[in-house]
Amino acid sequence: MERTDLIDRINAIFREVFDDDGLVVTPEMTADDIEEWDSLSHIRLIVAHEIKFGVKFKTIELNGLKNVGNFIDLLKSKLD
Amino acid sequence: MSHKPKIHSLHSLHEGLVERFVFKATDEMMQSFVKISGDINPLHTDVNFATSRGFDGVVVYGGILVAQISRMVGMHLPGRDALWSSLNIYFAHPLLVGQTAELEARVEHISEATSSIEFKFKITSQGKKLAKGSAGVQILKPDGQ
Repeated sequence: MERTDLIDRINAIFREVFDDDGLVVTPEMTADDIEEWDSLSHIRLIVAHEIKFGVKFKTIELNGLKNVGNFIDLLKSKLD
Repeated sequence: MSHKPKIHSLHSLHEGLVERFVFKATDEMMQSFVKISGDINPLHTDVNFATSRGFDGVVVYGGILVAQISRMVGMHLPGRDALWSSLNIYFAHPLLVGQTAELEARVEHISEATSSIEFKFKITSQGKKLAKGSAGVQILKPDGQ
């Protein structure tokens, strides 16, 4: 999957989870940039990606992420 | 009814696992729900009104069906260490007071990274699907200790 297509799909999931149709994800974005990004919405976000992309993440993989760009890279590595 | 919640860890569950139980909607449940909710809509409290609207009896509160999903979460999937985080439900047909129904839940997704599960459920009675949906639950002690 092309990176731009992947980002479009990720953006749609972010908008659904955070109920914000105007949300635009960027590689530099972190949880601090989205007010509703708390521990429960974090779970919904990860689970939504797992289900919609048919992948599974490990705790250690997520612990190493610094921003959304890192998450995109991780997801892409699982899909390639 | 079991009085002790099951103790499932993240690893004692598996995708495809099914849990089910049967329950009966009683007058006592209805009266308790009135106290809890403050909802005295006549569809749920007045048999004459309910029949005048085309139902064969007083319609059980949707909240009582949701209460049974709570029982599924807190007693079965995953039981003791549950923290319920989401619910989607669609009501298809009414349950009437005095009728029995079965709630069946199937684990659809287990997320190790978030120590959580998603299950789909359906509530059926007399061969008819009354409600269906999905729920998300976090497991507070993933190792079940």
